[in-house]
Amino acid sequence: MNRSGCLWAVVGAVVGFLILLLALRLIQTTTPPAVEPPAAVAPDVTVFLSEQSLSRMASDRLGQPTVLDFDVNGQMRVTTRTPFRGLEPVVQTVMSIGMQGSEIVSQLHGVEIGFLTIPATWLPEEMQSATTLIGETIKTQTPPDFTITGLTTTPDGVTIQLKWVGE
Amino acid sequence: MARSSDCGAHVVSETQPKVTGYSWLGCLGGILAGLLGGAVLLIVLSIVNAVTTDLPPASPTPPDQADLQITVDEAFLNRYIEQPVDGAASIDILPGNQARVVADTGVEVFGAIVPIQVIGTFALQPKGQTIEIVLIDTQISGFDLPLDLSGIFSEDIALVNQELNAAIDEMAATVGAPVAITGLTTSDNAIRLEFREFPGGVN
Repeated sequence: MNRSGCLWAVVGAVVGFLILLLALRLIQTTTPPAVEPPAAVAPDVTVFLSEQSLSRMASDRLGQPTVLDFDVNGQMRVTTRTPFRGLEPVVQTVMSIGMQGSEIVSQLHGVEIGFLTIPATWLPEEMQSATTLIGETIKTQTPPDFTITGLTTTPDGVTIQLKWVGE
Repeated sequence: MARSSDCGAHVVSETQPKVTGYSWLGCLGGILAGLLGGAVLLIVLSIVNAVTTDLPPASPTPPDQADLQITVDEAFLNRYIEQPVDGAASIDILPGNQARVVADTGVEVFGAIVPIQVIGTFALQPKGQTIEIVLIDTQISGFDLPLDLSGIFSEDIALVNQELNAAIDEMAATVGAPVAITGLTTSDNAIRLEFREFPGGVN
């Protein structure tokens, strides 16, 4: 390759790198869809659980330090160290949680490792289905005489609205 | 001179496509190398960053915030309480950590059932890890009763206190840490309880 070819190769490499950065930027700025608010039903009991309390419960359950970070519209991040080929990188799982009818649904939006964001669609099916465990855990912790009618999140924690269905 | 000029023109027309071809080849190769190299570089840097980054510290709950809040609606309490066989009872939550229980019942006077209304006013007091319900006033059909007759609610109060203790113990077991009541407020139609966790145990 002559001098001109080398010069264009350098220009191409810079352009290629910029395209890559732009693509990563586009992936990161894609906002996850908002969870639909549930139908308004006057609750019998309202339970609020703080972010700190839920982080401690998650750490106890997973057996390693885990930090839960909630935001409005059901957005949440779970940060923990995940063993991967002898390494333990800090992995942030970005997901949303909310009500769909009378069911709690949790949806994985992506995983952040360092500067990289991996969209949920690129992740294996098992990992996507693993997030449904959160909804199932909340459901199993709910007393049998109560049904969940609402779930909202704020930066402080989660508020769950319950309706008594006992007799 | 004319021949030399013709020759020059011939050389330019032969080398121009080659130079353009090398430029395109170089540019495409460069883009490919930039994409692949950049991707590898970013992956490596990201993993290094993720491995060396510390987990965000678990910040303690701010002093003015509760770990757990439970709000119970008055309408629910009225559906939840067990109704007496020979009458009806209702709970009216009052501001200032008080509640009024109104029970319509009947007493037998000379073989006849006389309908009466018993009204008990209670104070709800947080007491360490539980709530204590204390009777502060009793009225029957609008008349004040002497204090020694106020024992009619004693059995019910003991039962409610016992159930509250059990409910709070169950809640502590669910959250996996001892909890202590840090706030109790009532409004016209709801009771709100605030708890804080003490993973190391409540002193």
